[in-house]
Amino acid sequence: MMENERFWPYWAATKRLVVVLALICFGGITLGLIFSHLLDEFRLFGFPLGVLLTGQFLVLLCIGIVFWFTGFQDHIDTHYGADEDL
Amino acid sequence: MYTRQRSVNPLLGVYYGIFTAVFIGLIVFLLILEHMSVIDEYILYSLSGAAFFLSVVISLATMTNNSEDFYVSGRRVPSGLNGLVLFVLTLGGAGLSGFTGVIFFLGMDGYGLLFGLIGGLLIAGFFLASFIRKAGVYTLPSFFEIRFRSRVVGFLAALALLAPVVLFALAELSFLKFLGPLVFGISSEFTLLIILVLALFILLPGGVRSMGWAQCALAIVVLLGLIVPLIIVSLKLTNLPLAQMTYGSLIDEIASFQTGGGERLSSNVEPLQITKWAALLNNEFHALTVTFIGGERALSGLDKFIMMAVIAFGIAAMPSLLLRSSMGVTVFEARKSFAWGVALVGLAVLSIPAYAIFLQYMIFNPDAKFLVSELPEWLRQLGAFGLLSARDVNGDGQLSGTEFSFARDVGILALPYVASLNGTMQSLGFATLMAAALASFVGRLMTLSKLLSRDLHFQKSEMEADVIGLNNLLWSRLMIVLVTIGLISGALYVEHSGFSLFLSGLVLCACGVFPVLILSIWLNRMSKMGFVFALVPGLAGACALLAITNFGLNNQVLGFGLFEVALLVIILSFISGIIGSFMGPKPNGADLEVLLDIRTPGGEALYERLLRLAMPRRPTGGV
Repeated sequence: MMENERFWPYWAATKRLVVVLALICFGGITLGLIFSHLLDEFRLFGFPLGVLLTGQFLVLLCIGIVFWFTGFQDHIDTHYGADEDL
Repeated sequence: MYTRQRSVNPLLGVYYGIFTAVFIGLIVFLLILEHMSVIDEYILYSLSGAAFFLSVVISLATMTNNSEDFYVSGRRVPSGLNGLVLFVLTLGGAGLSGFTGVIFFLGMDGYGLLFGLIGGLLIAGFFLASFIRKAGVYTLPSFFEIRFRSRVVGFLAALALLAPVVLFALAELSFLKFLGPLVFGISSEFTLLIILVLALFILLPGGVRSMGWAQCALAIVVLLGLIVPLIIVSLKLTNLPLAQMTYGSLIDEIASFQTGGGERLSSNVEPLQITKWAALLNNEFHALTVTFIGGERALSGLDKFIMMAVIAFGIAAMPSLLLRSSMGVTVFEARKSFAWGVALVGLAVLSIPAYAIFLQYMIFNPDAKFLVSELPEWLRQLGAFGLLSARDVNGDGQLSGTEFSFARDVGILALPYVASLNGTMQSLGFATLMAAALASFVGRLMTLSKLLSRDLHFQKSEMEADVIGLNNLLWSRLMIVLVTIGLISGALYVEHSGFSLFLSGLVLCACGVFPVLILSIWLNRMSKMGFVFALVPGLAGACALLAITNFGLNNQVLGFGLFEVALLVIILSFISGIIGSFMGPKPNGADLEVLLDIRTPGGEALYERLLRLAMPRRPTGGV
């Protein structure tokens, strides 16, 4: 296990990362669910814009963010010496 | 430093590539035979039968008597394949069919539920999965037992998890009971008997190991079945094969059916409202009264947000899903598994609206006149299946608009029929749902068996049993048989729809399990007292809620909707847990050490280390 003085900075960086990413994902989803109908009057690629942004873009954004998270969290683990030794 | 090499079988990709090729080959072979009119009688159940047979073969080929293999698949499951299992566990058959139905009936209003699925996997991936993997536990109660160093806490957690896991299992059985007679034309009792035999063949040879590899195969069937019919219908309707990207152009046309020459969908029927949308949880017929976008909506933006939040919390705390993180080689792989899970569920979320739009377009298109005197064959077939009913209410000699009534599960099953695809594609639709339901059911069954065999027997704690070499596997296999028989017998008497039981299970997980899980990992001050304070009100509130609403069917509690009250219970449970933690004694150094160890990805898994330290030492020799 890590020593205390190295653990807490690592934990702060981890917390910061997951909270920011969760805010981006859930903030986007919430905005999409609540306000998407306002954009449905506009069209892009044949889609009503609200449907396109909520039903397509947000899904792809979440997928992109979660894959980026796995890589960046691993980078944080390595940086603070909390990485796995396999 | 401690190192332990676990090698992933490098040929796994090849094996599942071969499986996929065999299944696609079978589809092509059936298409040829059907074209030659050789096997018309058997075509409907050929693909379901093949999927089940191949998954049983995979289970038998992965038989094991090794404890680690039996409970956590040897922790050698690569992230991509783990993601496949997460995908099929998140949706299940009842969920996949139910969510498609909700989008068909509610359009954009149903997106709250769909984003709940993605949100749940995101929460699990961000906030929970890596810590469960680091704890290295075989069951969720043993995670709490290790975290709070208390057998009582583990026992309480096991008790709390029983109800949701039973509900999830019954949801799939209820759905299979409904689907089996449709596909095979046999009684629901005989359907359940077949499921019992299949579940035992999948679980008994190798526990989680045989189950996991069989689930991967079934998940591939589900993915193929979800995508292939959509591609064909998309080609027919839009000349492009990417259904997920092409259905948008049809939304406007469907809207024009309502305002232009077509029959107005909601002319003579009251639209669904938040207090009535729960009617969709029943297996009853409903007219389509809400358009995909625009017009009068069934749910407000806030309703959708609340729905999304409760479903997401429920998915994140689903035990059979969370424990898949223990199967990964490393903590990194556990996180990546959930990323793959999000990607695959995301693909389903992109595809489900296409099913709804394509169906609506073909049924409500005014150019396709459904004259009562010459109705198409699919109307008769879907009527016989109990998925659709149509009546010429205004006596104009043709069917249109609200003269059609649909069962909630119409989406995936009906599309190949309405699009006049051949029997093989219709068979693929059935195989998709059967495979999703079976894969999900065996997952719940295994979780329940582990709960009963490892966490709720009174003799030894899980670790003590492993240390003294108690014959766990024999006991677990016996429990699998008993639990399977018990659940199948119980399912005979279940009247609720699978979708309503599935959502009820999610509400229980969200209210009862989610707050304690999050607080146990993320709150330094969390103590045993905090655990009890969070668990009891959450679980009691959720149970009362489900009892009052009859598993969500009466979607009203004191003027509030089911999900609104559920969210209040979750918040209450969080507050109560925090207050309880600060009321009791502060966690001591050893408690904090366990917490910090769980939060650090490096080093040996906690459960493995504790087990190693508890093992009796061998004499080291000497004179």
